[in-house]
Amino acid sequence: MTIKDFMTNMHRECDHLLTQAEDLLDNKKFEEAHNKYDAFKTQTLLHFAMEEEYLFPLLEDKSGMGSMGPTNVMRMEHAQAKALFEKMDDAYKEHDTDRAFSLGESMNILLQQHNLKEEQMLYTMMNNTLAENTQEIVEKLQSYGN
Amino acid sequence: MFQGLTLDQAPPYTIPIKFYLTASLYLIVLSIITPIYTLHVYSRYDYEVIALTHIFTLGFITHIMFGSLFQMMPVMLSVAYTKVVKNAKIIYSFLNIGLSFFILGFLTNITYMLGLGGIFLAGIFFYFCFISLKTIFLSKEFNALVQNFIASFIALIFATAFGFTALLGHFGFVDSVKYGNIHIAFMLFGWVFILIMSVSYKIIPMFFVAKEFSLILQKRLYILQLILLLLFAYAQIQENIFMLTIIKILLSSCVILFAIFSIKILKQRKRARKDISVNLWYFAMSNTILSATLFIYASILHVDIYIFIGFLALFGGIYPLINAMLYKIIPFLTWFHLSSNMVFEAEMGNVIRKKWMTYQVNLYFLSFSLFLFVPFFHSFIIIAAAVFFFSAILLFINIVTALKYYNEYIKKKVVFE
Repeated sequence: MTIKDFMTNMHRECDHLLTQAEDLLDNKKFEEAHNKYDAFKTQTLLHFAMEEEYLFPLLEDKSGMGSMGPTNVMRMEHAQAKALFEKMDDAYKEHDTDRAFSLGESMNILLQQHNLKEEQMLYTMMNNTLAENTQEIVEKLQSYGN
Repeated sequence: MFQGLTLDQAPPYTIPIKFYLTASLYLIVLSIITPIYTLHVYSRYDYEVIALTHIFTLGFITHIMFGSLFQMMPVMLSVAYTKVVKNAKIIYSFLNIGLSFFILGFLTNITYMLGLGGIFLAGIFFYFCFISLKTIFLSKEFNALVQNFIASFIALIFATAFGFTALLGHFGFVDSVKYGNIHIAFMLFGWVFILIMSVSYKIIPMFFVAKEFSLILQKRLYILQLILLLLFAYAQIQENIFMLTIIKILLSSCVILFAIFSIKILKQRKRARKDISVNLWYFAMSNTILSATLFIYASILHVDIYIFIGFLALFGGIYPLINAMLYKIIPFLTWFHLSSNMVFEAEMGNVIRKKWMTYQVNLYFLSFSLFLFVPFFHSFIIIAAAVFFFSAILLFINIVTALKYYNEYIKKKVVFE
Protein backbone atom coordinates (compact mmCIF):
# COMPACT_ATOMS: atom_id res chain seq x y z
CA MET A 1 0.00 0.00 0.00
CA THR A 2 1.28 3.46 -0.89
CA ILE A 3 0.98 6.63 1.17
CA LYS A 4 -1.53 7.90 -1.39
CA ASP A 5 -3.65 4.75 -1.10
CA PHE A 6 -3.67 4.89 2.68
CA MET A 7 -4.53 8.57 2.93
CA THR A 8 -7.10 8.42 0.12
CA ASN A 9 -8.86 5.50 1.82
CA MET A 10 -9.00 7.55 4.97
CA HIS A 11 -10.65 10.41 3.05
CA ARG A 12 -13.35 8.03 1.89
CA GLU A 13 -13.89 6.69 5.42
CA CYS A 14 -14.40 10.23 6.71
CA ASP A 15 -16.85 11.02 3.86
CA HIS A 16 -18.80 7.91 4.76
CA LEU A 17 -18.99 8.80 8.46
CA LEU A 18 -20.36 12.28 7.71
CA THR A 19 -23.02 10.96 5.37
CA GLN A 20 -24.02 8.36 7.97
CA ALA A 21 -24.33 11.06 10.63
CA GLU A 22 -26.53 13.11 8.30
CA ASP A 23 -28.72 10.13 7.42
CA LEU A 24 -29.29 9.47 11.12
CA LEU A 25 -30.03 13.15 11.68
CA ASP A 26 -32.49 13.09 8.82
CA ASN A 27 -34.26 10.21 10.57
CA LYS A 28 -34.31 12.21 13.83
CA LYS A 29 -32.04 9.68 15.59
CA PHE A 30 -30.20 12.46 17.37
CA GLU A 31 -28.17 10.40 19.81
CA GLU A 32 -26.81 8.05 17.15
CA ALA A 33 -26.25 10.95 14.77
CA HIS A 34 -24.20 12.73 17.41
CA ASN A 35 -22.08 9.62 18.01
CA LYS A 36 -21.46 9.19 14.32
CA TYR A 37 -20.60 12.87 13.97
CA ASP A 38 -18.11 12.48 16.84
CA ALA A 39 -16.53 9.55 15.03
CA PHE A 40 -16.29 11.64 11.87
CA LYS A 41 -14.70 14.52 13.76
CA THR A 42 -12.22 12.28 15.57
CA GLN A 43 -11.20 10.53 12.37
CA THR A 44 -10.85 13.77 10.42
CA LEU A 45 -8.79 15.44 13.14
CA LEU A 46 -6.58 12.35 13.33
CA HIS A 47 -6.07 12.59 9.57
CA PHE A 48 -5.14 16.27 9.88
CA ALA A 49 -2.70 15.42 12.68
CA MET A 50 -1.04 12.72 10.55
CA GLU A 51 -0.46 15.29 7.85
CA GLU A 52 0.48 18.30 9.93
CA GLU A 53 2.67 16.55 12.49
CA TYR A 54 4.21 13.83 10.38
CA LEU A 55 3.74 13.77 6.62
CA PHE A 56 4.01 17.47 5.77
CA PRO A 57 7.24 18.02 7.74
CA LEU A 58 8.71 14.89 6.13
CA LEU A 59 7.81 16.09 2.65
CA GLU A 60 8.93 19.65 3.31
CA ASP A 61 12.25 18.39 4.61
CA LYS A 62 12.92 15.84 1.90
CA SER A 63 11.83 18.03 -1.04
CA GLY A 64 13.35 21.19 0.38
CA MET A 65 10.23 23.19 -0.37
CA GLY A 66 9.88 24.54 3.17
CA SER A 67 6.66 25.14 5.05
CA MET A 68 5.33 28.08 3.03
CA GLY A 69 4.37 26.11 -0.08
CA PRO A 70 1.30 24.00 -0.81
CA THR A 71 1.46 22.31 2.60
CA ASN A 72 0.80 25.70 4.13
CA VAL A 73 -2.36 26.08 2.06
CA MET A 74 -3.46 22.63 3.21
CA ARG A 75 -2.85 23.67 6.83
CA MET A 76 -4.99 26.77 6.28
CA GLU A 77 -7.81 24.64 4.93
CA HIS A 78 -7.48 22.38 7.96
CA ALA A 79 -7.95 25.51 10.08
CA GLN A 80 -11.11 26.33 8.12
CA ALA A 81 -12.45 22.84 8.81
CA LYS A 82 -11.58 23.09 12.51
CA ALA A 83 -13.52 26.36 12.74
CA LEU A 84 -16.48 24.59 11.13
CA PHE A 85 -16.24 21.75 13.66
CA GLU A 86 -16.83 24.20 16.50
CA LYS A 87 -20.11 25.29 14.91
CA MET A 88 -21.12 21.75 14.02
CA ASP A 89 -20.56 20.67 17.63
CA ASP A 90 -23.20 23.19 18.73
CA ALA A 91 -25.64 22.26 15.99
CA TYR A 92 -25.44 18.53 16.81
CA LYS A 93 -25.66 19.18 20.56
CA GLU A 94 -28.71 21.39 20.14
CA HIS A 95 -30.37 19.04 17.61
CA ASP A 96 -30.52 21.99 15.22
CA THR A 97 -31.06 19.87 12.11
CA ASP A 98 -31.18 22.64 9.51
CA ARG A 99 -27.99 24.23 10.74
CA ALA A 100 -26.24 20.87 11.04
CA PHE A 101 -27.11 20.09 7.41
CA SER A 102 -26.06 23.51 6.22
CA LEU A 103 -22.72 23.30 8.05
CA GLY A 104 -22.36 19.70 6.89
CA GLU A 105 -22.70 20.93 3.32
CA SER A 106 -19.89 23.44 3.82
CA MET A 107 -17.76 20.80 5.50
CA ASN A 108 -18.43 18.31 2.73
CA ILE A 109 -17.51 20.64 -0.12
CA LEU A 110 -14.53 22.07 1.75
CA LEU A 111 -13.15 18.60 2.42
CA GLN A 112 -13.94 17.28 -1.06
CA GLN A 113 -12.11 20.05 -2.87
CA HIS A 114 -9.31 19.84 -0.30
CA ASN A 115 -9.04 16.07 -0.79
CA LEU A 116 -9.04 16.51 -4.55
CA LYS A 117 -6.01 18.79 -4.34
CA GLU A 118 -4.21 16.41 -1.99
CA GLU A 119 -4.99 13.30 -4.01
CA GLN A 120 -4.24 14.94 -7.33
CA MET A 121 -0.99 16.58 -6.30
CA LEU A 122 0.35 16.29 -2.81
CA TYR A 123 0.05 12.55 -2.21
CA THR A 124 1.47 11.80 -5.64
CA MET A 125 4.39 14.00 -4.68
CA MET A 126 4.73 12.12 -1.39
CA ASN A 127 4.69 8.77 -3.19
CA ASN A 128 7.55 9.93 -5.38
CA THR A 129 9.62 11.87 -2.88
CA LEU A 130 9.25 9.47 0.02
CA ALA A 131 9.29 6.28 -2.07
CA GLU A 132 12.29 4.74 -0.27
CA ASN A 133 10.50 4.75 3.09
CA THR A 134 6.97 3.94 2.00
CA GLN A 135 6.65 0.76 4.03
CA GLU A 136 7.89 2.36 7.21
CA ILE A 137 5.71 5.48 6.74
CA VAL A 138 2.54 3.53 6.06
CA GLU A 139 3.15 1.36 9.13
CA LYS A 140 3.62 4.46 11.22
CA LEU A 141 0.40 5.95 9.82
CA GLN A 142 -1.50 2.75 10.59
CA SER A 143 -0.55 2.96 14.23
CA TYR A 144 -0.85 6.72 14.47
CA GLY A 145 -2.67 8.02 17.53
CA ASN A 146 -2.63 4.66 19.32
CA MET B 1 5.39 21.31 -9.49
CA PHE B 2 3.15 22.88 -6.92
CA GLN B 3 1.54 25.59 -8.98
CA GLY B 4 -2.14 25.70 -8.22
CA LEU B 5 -1.78 24.90 -4.58
CA THR B 6 -1.32 28.45 -3.40
CA LEU B 7 -4.05 30.87 -2.48
CA ASP B 8 -2.41 33.58 -4.59
CA GLN B 9 -3.60 31.80 -7.69
CA ALA B 10 -7.25 31.72 -6.74
CA PRO B 11 -8.91 34.63 -8.55
CA PRO B 12 -10.56 37.37 -6.54
CA TYR B 13 -14.14 36.60 -5.55
CA THR B 14 -15.45 39.41 -7.74
CA ILE B 15 -14.28 37.78 -10.99
CA PRO B 16 -16.64 34.79 -11.13
CA ILE B 17 -19.42 36.80 -9.48
CA LYS B 18 -19.22 39.52 -12.15
CA PHE B 19 -19.57 36.88 -14.87
CA TYR B 20 -22.50 35.23 -13.03
CA LEU B 21 -24.32 38.54 -12.46
CA THR B 22 -23.95 39.50 -16.10
CA ALA B 23 -25.17 36.06 -17.15
CA SER B 24 -28.34 36.47 -15.13
CA LEU B 25 -28.86 39.96 -16.61
CA TYR B 26 -28.81 38.42 -20.07
CA LEU B 27 -31.52 36.02 -18.93
CA ILE B 28 -33.65 38.99 -17.88
CA VAL B 29 -33.08 40.63 -21.27
CA LEU B 30 -33.91 37.35 -22.99
CA SER B 31 -37.18 36.95 -21.12
CA ILE B 32 -38.19 40.53 -22.04
CA ILE B 33 -37.43 40.37 -25.74
CA THR B 34 -38.54 36.79 -26.37
CA PRO B 35 -42.26 37.64 -26.70
CA ILE B 36 -41.45 40.74 -28.75
CA TYR B 37 -39.45 38.93 -31.40
CA THR B 38 -40.79 35.40 -31.48
CA LEU B 39 -44.54 35.79 -31.83
CA HIS B 40 -44.28 35.33 -35.57
CA VAL B 41 -41.26 33.11 -36.11
CA TYR B 42 -41.33 29.41 -36.73
CA SER B 43 -37.98 28.43 -38.22
CA ARG B 44 -34.58 28.09 -36.61
CA TYR B 45 -33.11 30.03 -39.52
CA ASP B 46 -35.03 33.21 -38.66
CA TYR B 47 -32.67 35.97 -37.58
CA GLU B 48 -34.71 36.58 -34.44
CA VAL B 49 -34.32 32.96 -33.37
CA ILE B 50 -30.57 33.10 -34.03
CA ALA B 51 -30.30 36.32 -31.98
CA LEU B 52 -32.27 34.94 -29.03
CA THR B 53 -30.36 31.66 -29.09
CA HIS B 54 -27.08 33.56 -28.90
CA ILE B 55 -28.29 35.72 -26.02
CA PHE B 56 -28.80 32.45 -24.20
CA THR B 57 -25.65 30.64 -25.34
CA LEU B 58 -23.23 33.55 -25.30
CA GLY B 59 -24.92 35.82 -22.79
CA PHE B 60 -25.80 33.19 -20.24
CA ILE B 61 -23.97 29.89 -20.82
CA THR B 62 -20.63 31.35 -21.93
CA HIS B 63 -20.49 33.88 -19.08
CA ILE B 64 -21.12 31.14 -16.54
CA MET B 65 -18.60 28.80 -18.13
CA PHE B 66 -15.84 31.38 -18.45
CA GLY B 67 -16.43 32.75 -14.94
CA SER B 68 -16.42 29.25 -13.48
CA LEU B 69 -13.31 28.17 -15.33
CA PHE B 70 -11.33 31.09 -13.90
CA GLN B 71 -12.33 29.89 -10.45
CA MET B 72 -12.33 26.13 -10.87
CA MET B 73 -9.18 25.48 -12.84
CA PRO B 74 -6.93 25.76 -9.73
CA VAL B 75 -9.16 23.39 -7.77
CA MET B 76 -9.78 20.84 -10.48
CA LEU B 77 -6.50 20.77 -12.37
CA SER B 78 -4.16 22.33 -9.80
CA VAL B 79 -3.12 24.97 -12.32
CA ALA B 80 -4.31 28.54 -12.56
CA TYR B 81 -4.57 31.21 -15.23
CA THR B 82 -1.70 33.66 -15.19
CA LYS B 83 -2.61 37.37 -14.96
CA VAL B 84 -6.10 36.26 -14.14
CA VAL B 85 -7.50 39.70 -13.29
CA LYS B 86 -6.24 41.27 -16.50
CA ASN B 87 -7.32 38.34 -18.64
CA ALA B 88 -10.75 38.20 -17.05
CA LYS B 89 -11.23 41.93 -17.73
CA ILE B 90 -10.20 41.59 -21.37
CA ILE B 91 -12.43 38.59 -21.95
CA TYR B 92 -15.39 40.09 -20.13
CA SER B 93 -15.18 43.39 -22.03
CA PHE B 94 -14.70 42.00 -25.51
CA LEU B 95 -17.24 39.24 -25.02
CA ASN B 96 -19.88 41.81 -24.13
CA ILE B 97 -18.94 44.28 -26.85
CA GLY B 98 -18.93 41.49 -29.42
CA LEU B 99 -22.19 40.05 -28.19
CA SER B 100 -23.94 43.44 -28.27
CA PHE B 101 -22.93 44.05 -31.89
CA PHE B 102 -23.78 40.48 -32.84
CA ILE B 103 -27.27 40.50 -31.34
CA LEU B 104 -28.10 43.98 -32.63
CA GLY B 105 -26.82 42.90 -36.05
CA PHE B 106 -29.22 39.98 -36.18
CA LEU B 107 -32.18 41.86 -34.74
CA THR B 108 -31.76 44.94 -36.95
CA ASN B 109 -30.28 43.18 -39.98
CA ILE B 110 -27.40 45.67 -40.11
CA THR B 111 -24.59 43.65 -41.65
CA TYR B 112 -21.59 45.69 -40.47
CA MET B 113 -22.73 45.12 -36.88
CA LEU B 114 -22.89 41.40 -37.53
CA GLY B 115 -19.41 41.48 -38.97
CA LEU B 116 -17.98 43.48 -36.09
CA GLY B 117 -19.71 41.27 -33.57
CA GLY B 118 -18.39 38.15 -35.27
CA ILE B 119 -14.82 39.46 -35.32
CA PHE B 120 -14.90 40.44 -31.63
CA LEU B 121 -16.47 37.16 -30.59
CA ALA B 122 -14.20 34.92 -32.66
CA GLY B 123 -11.19 36.88 -31.41
CA ILE B 124 -12.14 36.55 -27.77
CA PHE B 125 -13.02 32.87 -28.07
CA PHE B 126 -9.70 32.08 -29.72
CA TYR B 127 -7.94 34.12 -27.05
CA PHE B 128 -9.75 32.28 -24.25
CA CYS B 129 -8.87 28.94 -25.85
CA PHE B 130 -5.24 30.01 -26.12
CA ILE B 131 -4.85 31.09 -22.49
CA SER B 132 -6.83 28.10 -21.26
CA LEU B 133 -4.85 25.51 -23.20
CA LYS B 134 -1.63 27.24 -22.15
CA THR B 135 -2.78 26.92 -18.54
CA ILE B 136 -3.94 23.31 -18.86
CA PHE B 137 -0.64 22.25 -20.37
CA LEU B 138 1.10 23.54 -17.22
CA SER B 139 -0.48 20.61 -15.42
CA LYS B 140 2.10 17.95 -14.69
CA GLU B 141 -0.54 15.24 -14.81
CA PHE B 142 -2.22 14.00 -17.96
CA ASN B 143 -5.20 12.36 -16.29
CA ALA B 144 -8.72 11.91 -17.67
CA LEU B 145 -9.81 15.32 -16.41
CA VAL B 146 -6.96 17.12 -18.14
CA GLN B 147 -7.64 15.21 -21.36
CA ASN B 148 -11.34 16.08 -21.24
CA PHE B 149 -10.59 19.75 -20.68
CA ILE B 150 -8.19 19.80 -23.63
CA ALA B 151 -10.79 18.07 -25.81
CA SER B 152 -13.48 20.60 -24.93
CA PHE B 153 -11.20 23.50 -25.87
CA ILE B 154 -10.25 21.82 -29.14
CA ALA B 155 -13.97 21.54 -29.86
CA LEU B 156 -14.38 25.22 -29.00
CA ILE B 157 -11.67 26.20 -31.48
CA PHE B 158 -13.45 24.29 -34.24
CA ALA B 159 -16.85 25.62 -33.16
CA THR B 160 -15.59 29.19 -33.28
CA ALA B 161 -13.92 28.73 -36.66
CA PHE B 162 -17.05 27.18 -38.18
CA GLY B 163 -19.26 29.76 -36.50
CA PHE B 164 -17.26 32.56 -38.06
CA THR B 165 -17.36 30.80 -41.42
CA ALA B 166 -21.13 30.44 -41.12
CA LEU B 167 -21.35 34.16 -40.42
CA LEU B 168 -19.59 34.83 -43.72
CA GLY B 169 -22.59 33.14 -45.31
CA HIS B 170 -24.72 36.08 -44.23
CA PHE B 171 -22.50 38.21 -46.47
CA GLY B 172 -23.01 35.76 -49.34
CA PHE B 173 -19.60 34.06 -49.29
CA VAL B 174 -20.49 30.53 -48.19
CA ASP B 175 -23.49 28.34 -47.39
CA SER B 176 -24.23 29.51 -43.85
CA VAL B 177 -26.64 26.64 -43.11
CA LYS B 178 -24.01 24.01 -43.84
CA TYR B 179 -21.31 25.67 -41.71
CA GLY B 180 -23.86 26.76 -39.14
CA ASN B 181 -24.80 23.12 -38.55
CA ILE B 182 -21.17 22.18 -38.02
CA HIS B 183 -20.78 25.15 -35.66
CA ILE B 184 -23.80 24.04 -33.62
CA ALA B 185 -22.57 20.43 -33.49
CA PHE B 186 -19.10 21.42 -32.27
CA MET B 187 -20.56 23.88 -29.75
CA LEU B 188 -23.18 21.60 -28.26
CA PHE B 189 -21.77 18.08 -28.65
CA GLY B 190 -18.18 19.29 -28.31
CA TRP B 191 -17.44 22.32 -26.17
CA VAL B 192 -20.51 22.37 -23.93
CA PHE B 193 -21.10 18.64 -23.63
CA ILE B 194 -17.47 17.63 -23.09
CA LEU B 195 -16.94 20.44 -20.57
CA ILE B 196 -20.10 19.46 -18.70
CA MET B 197 -18.88 15.85 -18.69
CA SER B 198 -15.44 16.88 -17.43
CA VAL B 199 -16.87 18.98 -14.64
CA SER B 200 -19.49 16.36 -13.74
CA TYR B 201 -16.83 13.67 -13.40
CA LYS B 202 -15.46 15.65 -10.47
CA ILE B 203 -18.42 17.68 -9.24
CA ILE B 204 -20.95 14.86 -8.81
CA PRO B 205 -18.71 12.70 -6.60
CA MET B 206 -17.57 15.86 -4.81
CA PHE B 207 -20.90 17.55 -4.08
CA PHE B 208 -23.03 14.48 -3.54
CA VAL B 209 -20.43 12.02 -2.19
CA ALA B 210 -21.12 9.62 -5.01
CA LYS B 211 -19.13 6.97 -6.84
CA GLU B 212 -16.65 7.99 -9.52
CA PHE B 213 -17.69 7.63 -13.17
CA SER B 214 -16.05 4.63 -14.81
CA LEU B 215 -12.58 5.35 -16.14
CA ILE B 216 -13.49 3.94 -19.54
CA LEU B 217 -16.21 6.56 -19.85
CA GLN B 218 -13.90 9.29 -18.61
CA LYS B 219 -11.08 8.35 -20.96
CA ARG B 220 -12.89 7.23 -24.10
CA LEU B 221 -16.13 9.16 -24.50
CA TYR B 222 -14.50 12.49 -25.31
CA ILE B 223 -12.28 10.85 -27.95
CA LEU B 224 -15.31 9.28 -29.57
CA GLN B 225 -17.15 12.61 -29.50
CA LEU B 226 -14.26 14.45 -31.13
CA ILE B 227 -13.85 11.82 -33.86
CA LEU B 228 -17.59 11.85 -34.54
CA LEU B 229 -17.61 15.64 -34.71
CA LEU B 230 -14.80 15.67 -37.27
CA LEU B 231 -16.68 13.08 -39.32
CA PHE B 232 -19.82 15.18 -38.93
CA ALA B 233 -18.00 18.18 -40.39
CA TYR B 234 -16.76 16.06 -43.29
CA ALA B 235 -20.19 14.55 -43.98
CA GLN B 236 -21.88 17.95 -43.74
CA ILE B 237 -19.45 19.56 -46.16
CA GLN B 238 -19.81 16.58 -48.54
CA GLU B 239 -23.59 16.67 -47.98
CA ASN B 240 -23.55 12.94 -47.35
CA ILE B 241 -26.99 12.56 -45.77
CA PHE B 242 -26.63 8.87 -44.89
CA MET B 243 -23.33 9.40 -43.10
CA LEU B 244 -24.73 12.48 -41.34
CA THR B 245 -27.68 10.50 -40.04
CA ILE B 246 -25.46 7.75 -38.67
CA ILE B 247 -23.18 10.27 -36.98
CA LYS B 248 -26.09 12.19 -35.47
CA ILE B 249 -27.38 8.93 -33.99
CA LEU B 250 -23.96 8.08 -32.55
CA LEU B 251 -23.40 11.58 -31.14
CA SER B 252 -26.80 11.56 -29.49
CA SER B 253 -26.18 8.06 -28.14
CA CYS B 254 -23.01 9.28 -26.41
CA VAL B 255 -25.03 12.05 -24.76
CA ILE B 256 -27.72 9.59 -23.67
CA LEU B 257 -25.08 7.22 -22.30
CA PHE B 258 -23.52 9.96 -20.19
CA ALA B 259 -26.91 11.18 -18.93
CA ILE B 260 -27.93 7.65 -17.91
CA PHE B 261 -24.65 7.14 -16.03
CA SER B 262 -25.09 10.51 -14.29
CA ILE B 263 -28.56 9.57 -13.11
CA LYS B 264 -27.37 6.14 -11.98
CA ILE B 265 -24.45 7.61 -10.03
CA LEU B 266 -26.67 10.30 -8.50
CA LYS B 267 -29.21 7.68 -7.44
CA GLN B 268 -26.46 5.76 -5.63
CA ARG B 269 -25.00 8.83 -3.92
CA LYS B 270 -24.11 8.51 -0.26
CA ARG B 271 -25.33 11.99 0.62
CA ALA B 272 -28.91 10.90 0.23
CA ARG B 273 -30.72 14.12 1.21
CA LYS B 274 -32.62 15.70 -1.63
CA ASP B 275 -32.04 19.36 -2.36
CA ILE B 276 -32.79 21.79 -5.16
CA SER B 277 -29.58 20.94 -6.96
CA VAL B 278 -30.30 17.21 -7.07
CA ASN B 279 -33.78 17.85 -8.45
CA LEU B 280 -32.40 20.20 -11.08
CA TRP B 281 -29.76 17.67 -12.03
CA TYR B 282 -32.31 14.90 -12.55
CA PHE B 283 -34.53 17.27 -14.51
CA ALA B 284 -31.61 18.32 -16.71
CA MET B 285 -30.47 14.78 -17.40
CA SER B 286 -34.02 13.60 -18.20
CA ASN B 287 -34.48 16.42 -20.71
CA THR B 288 -31.05 15.72 -22.15
CA ILE B 289 -32.06 12.11 -22.78
CA LEU B 290 -35.38 13.22 -24.26
CA SER B 291 -33.84 15.83 -26.56
CA ALA B 292 -31.12 13.44 -27.76
CA THR B 293 -33.74 10.75 -28.43
CA LEU B 294 -35.87 13.20 -30.39
CA PHE B 295 -32.79 14.27 -32.31
CA ILE B 296 -32.25 10.65 -33.38
CA TYR B 297 -35.92 10.40 -34.33
CA ALA B 298 -35.82 13.66 -36.31
CA SER B 299 -32.61 12.64 -38.08
CA ILE B 300 -33.94 9.25 -39.17
CA LEU B 301 -37.39 10.42 -40.22
CA HIS B 302 -36.28 13.86 -41.42
CA VAL B 303 -38.87 15.62 -39.29
CA ASP B 304 -38.24 19.31 -38.69
CA ILE B 305 -38.70 19.62 -34.94
CA TYR B 306 -35.30 21.18 -34.37
CA ILE B 307 -36.59 24.30 -32.58
CA PHE B 308 -38.28 22.07 -30.03
CA ILE B 309 -35.19 19.86 -29.68
CA GLY B 310 -33.03 22.96 -29.27
CA PHE B 311 -35.41 24.28 -26.63
CA LEU B 312 -35.33 20.97 -24.75
CA ALA B 313 -31.55 20.68 -24.91
CA LEU B 314 -30.75 24.28 -24.02
CA PHE B 315 -33.59 25.33 -21.72
CA GLY B 316 -34.47 21.90 -20.34
CA GLY B 317 -31.02 20.30 -20.26
CA ILE B 318 -28.19 22.79 -20.01
CA TYR B 319 -29.98 25.59 -18.15
CA PRO B 320 -31.09 23.58 -15.07
CA LEU B 321 -27.68 21.93 -14.89
CA ILE B 322 -26.02 25.34 -14.72
CA ASN B 323 -28.65 26.55 -12.26
CA ALA B 324 -27.91 23.51 -10.07
CA MET B 325 -24.16 24.12 -10.18
CA LEU B 326 -24.61 27.84 -9.41
CA TYR B 327 -26.51 27.08 -6.21
CA LYS B 328 -23.69 24.82 -5.09
CA ILE B 329 -20.79 26.93 -6.28
CA ILE B 330 -21.84 30.47 -5.26
CA PRO B 331 -22.58 29.79 -1.56
CA PHE B 332 -19.42 27.71 -1.25
CA LEU B 333 -17.30 30.25 -3.08
CA THR B 334 -18.57 33.07 -0.89
CA TRP B 335 -17.99 31.16 2.31
CA PHE B 336 -14.62 29.83 1.15
CA HIS B 337 -13.25 33.24 0.21
CA LEU B 338 -14.43 34.64 3.55
CA SER B 339 -12.97 31.86 5.66
CA SER B 340 -9.73 32.02 3.65
CA ASN B 341 -9.57 35.58 4.88
CA MET B 342 -10.02 34.33 8.45
CA VAL B 343 -13.64 35.45 8.61
CA PHE B 344 -15.05 32.40 10.32
CA GLU B 345 -18.45 33.82 11.35
CA ALA B 346 -19.83 33.43 7.83
CA GLU B 347 -21.90 30.34 7.08
CA MET B 348 -22.57 28.85 3.68
CA GLY B 349 -26.22 28.22 4.48
CA ASN B 350 -26.79 31.93 5.07
CA VAL B 351 -25.25 33.17 1.82
CA ILE B 352 -28.43 32.73 -0.24
CA ARG B 353 -31.66 31.92 1.52
CA LYS B 354 -32.90 28.45 0.65
CA LYS B 355 -36.45 29.75 0.33
CA TRP B 356 -35.46 32.19 -2.40
CA MET B 357 -33.52 29.56 -4.30
CA THR B 358 -36.61 27.33 -4.19
CA TYR B 359 -38.87 30.15 -5.44
CA GLN B 360 -36.52 30.83 -8.33
CA VAL B 361 -36.26 27.20 -9.35
CA ASN B 362 -40.02 26.63 -9.06
CA LEU B 363 -40.64 29.63 -11.30
CA TYR B 364 -38.22 28.16 -13.79
CA PHE B 365 -40.07 24.82 -13.72
CA LEU B 366 -43.35 26.67 -14.25
CA SER B 367 -42.04 28.69 -17.17
CA PHE B 368 -40.56 25.56 -18.75
CA SER B 369 -43.95 23.85 -18.52
CA LEU B 370 -45.69 26.87 -20.02
CA PHE B 371 -43.23 27.01 -22.93
CA LEU B 372 -44.23 23.42 -23.77
CA PHE B 373 -47.70 24.70 -24.72
CA VAL B 374 -46.34 27.24 -27.19
CA PRO B 375 -46.46 24.91 -30.23
CA PHE B 376 -50.21 24.53 -29.60
CA PHE B 377 -51.05 28.04 -28.38
CA HIS B 378 -48.46 30.47 -29.68
CA SER B 379 -49.59 33.25 -27.37
CA PHE B 380 -48.47 31.16 -24.39
CA ILE B 381 -45.01 32.46 -25.15
CA ILE B 382 -45.96 35.73 -23.44
CA ILE B 383 -47.02 34.07 -20.18
CA ALA B 384 -44.08 31.64 -20.22
CA ALA B 385 -41.59 34.45 -20.84
CA ALA B 386 -43.21 36.57 -18.12
CA VAL B 387 -42.82 33.76 -15.58
CA PHE B 388 -39.25 33.23 -16.68
CA PHE B 389 -38.64 36.97 -16.28
CA PHE B 390 -39.44 36.66 -12.56
CA SER B 391 -37.28 33.56 -12.28
CA ALA B 392 -34.36 35.40 -13.91
CA ILE B 393 -34.90 38.43 -11.67
CA LEU B 394 -34.81 36.15 -8.63
CA LEU B 395 -31.64 34.48 -9.86
CA PHE B 396 -30.07 37.93 -10.22
CA ILE B 397 -31.24 38.94 -6.73
CA ASN B 398 -29.88 35.71 -5.25
CA ILE B 399 -26.45 36.33 -6.75
CA VAL B 400 -26.53 39.96 -5.56
CA THR B 401 -27.46 38.67 -2.10
CA ALA B 402 -24.35 36.49 -2.11
CA LEU B 403 -22.21 39.45 -3.15
CA LYS B 404 -23.74 41.64 -0.42
CA TYR B 405 -23.11 38.90 2.13
CA TYR B 406 -19.50 38.72 1.06
CA ASN B 407 -19.06 42.51 1.18
CA GLU B 408 -20.64 42.68 4.60
CA TYR B 409 -18.47 39.97 6.12
CA ILE B 410 -15.19 40.78 4.41
CA LYS B 411 -15.14 44.02 6.42
CA LYS B 412 -14.53 41.80 9.45
CA LYS B 413 -11.33 40.48 7.94
CA VAL B 414 -8.49 40.54 10.45
CA VAL B 415 -5.36 42.12 9.03
CA PHE B 416 -2.21 41.00 10.80
CA GLU B 417 0.40 43.71 11.22
